[in-house]
Parts: sequence; C-alpha cells; structure tokens
Amino acid sequence: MTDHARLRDDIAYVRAAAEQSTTVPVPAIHFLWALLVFVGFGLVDVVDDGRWIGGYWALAGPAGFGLSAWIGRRADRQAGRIDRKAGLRHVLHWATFMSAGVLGLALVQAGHLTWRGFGSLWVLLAALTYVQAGLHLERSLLPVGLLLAGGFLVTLWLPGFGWTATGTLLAIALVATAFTGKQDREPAG
Amino acid sequence: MSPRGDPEVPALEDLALLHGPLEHRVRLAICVLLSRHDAMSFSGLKRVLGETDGSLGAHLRKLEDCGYLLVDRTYRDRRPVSWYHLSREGRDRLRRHLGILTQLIDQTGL
Repeated sequence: MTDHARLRDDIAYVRAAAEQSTTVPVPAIHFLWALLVFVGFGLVDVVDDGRWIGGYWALAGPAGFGLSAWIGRRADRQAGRIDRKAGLRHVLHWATFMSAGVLGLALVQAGHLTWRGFGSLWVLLAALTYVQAGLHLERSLLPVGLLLAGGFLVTLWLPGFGWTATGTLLAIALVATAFTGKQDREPAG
Repeated sequence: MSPRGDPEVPALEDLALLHGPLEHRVRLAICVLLSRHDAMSFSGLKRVLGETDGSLGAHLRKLEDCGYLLVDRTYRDRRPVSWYHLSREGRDRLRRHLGILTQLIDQTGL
C-alpha cells in the first residue's frame, strides 16, 4: 500500500470511529415521554378542571426532565463515555423550552391568551424545541417535531379529542424513534 | 523547510510529527475519540474501535507512557473501570497532528 493510500485508509478508519461514538437515542427516555405525553394530552379532553392538567404538568414536567437527565447520564456511562458538555447542552436545550412555556403564563395573566390557547402554545413550543433538537442534538427527534407542528394545528381546529389524537400520535412517534438509532450499551470496564 | 512565505505548505519538521505516537491509526482514533468526549472507558473504546483487549491495551499504554493520556480507575458494580482522557499535552499534539494532516489533504486532494 502506498503512503497516499494508507493515509486515506487511516482517515476513513478514524472518521468511522468518530461517527460510531456519536450520541444515540436512549429508548427509556423516549418511552418515558411517550407515557407522560399520552396521559397529559389525553387529560385535556377528559378532565374539565384545568387545574388538574396544570397540576399534572407542573409535576410531570420537572420530574420527567430530571429523570431523563439521570437516565441519559447513566446510559452514557454504560456505553463507556462521559460527555459533560453534551449533557449540559441537552439540559439547557430542554430547560429553555420549559422556561419559555412557563413565561407563556404571562400571556394568560395579561388576558392575551385563553387557557386552551396556552395549551396549544406549549405544543407549538414543543414542536420548535423538538425540531431544533433534531437538527442539533439527535437526528431521530426531527420527525417528532414535525408531527408536533401538525398536532399544534389539530389542537386548534379539532375541538373534540384533538388533544388525545395528538398525544397518541406523539406517543407512537416517540416509541418509534426509540428504535431508529443503534443501541450502544455495554457494561463499562 | 516550507517555501518562504507559503504558510499553506507544511514544514519538514512539522511533517516529522506525523511519525510520532499518533502515526498508528488506532492511537490516532483513540485521541480523536477522547477529544470529542470528556472521558471514555476501556470497553467503550473497545466497542467503537473493534480492537482486541491486548491490542487496545498496548496502544493505550503507549499513549499513557508518552503523556498523551491520563487514566482514572474506578469501580462499577464491584468491577474495575478505567476511564481515559486526554492530557493537555495529548490535546496539543493531536491538534498539531490534525493540522498537518489537514494541510496534506488540502494539497493532495485525498
């Protein structure tokens, strides 16, 4: 093999190794959010008292966020890598979404938005956040974001069970994307 | 020596760097992987690189001896886990090595 060919071969080897070590979806996180979204969206159609829905998300949101961070960190360690910068990027990304959603409350308080509209705003913010996550963090989340964007319109124009339909679609999409990436967990050693 | 006034052409002393510890593609890949993550375990590197325990261990030892790598030994479920990360020197050497490789690739169109 000539030096030229060997160099090209070595570069291809290093590139393949680098691609192999990229972050992959952690199915447990997708399953967790599929469940939370399915229940939380379904509540909107079956519960009249908005306080139950707000209470559910006030608890499920931060709990799911914290649990996701813990599961992600554990999965990374099991895959044999520590990546604090990537972890911080994920935390900031999703924390920004939650902060924007909470700030949206000001629109309701100021009388510019109804509670039902506030729910749709959350779906729109979630769509944007998932699309951004698909573009910058984890490619498999891109279709979930696009589906959420469609779900946003459904929640506006389909009064009866639009939320349940959107939640069900989202849950299916999240479970499906849990299987789209390669699994890379082995005991660290 | 590079032609005067042409910073795009690597100097001979720079090219000599390519014959250091990072000349071997497995050692180069180890350093590239560790530059992308804070640390990787022995089995994490083994899974990605597909090397045998003996081969990977020898490459890691060589990089450690050269001062390119630092290792933290911990336990997980009572099993020892070795976490490797790049030293400051290792990071500098890798940056220079990749810089020269990039220059070569730009010139030869690899």
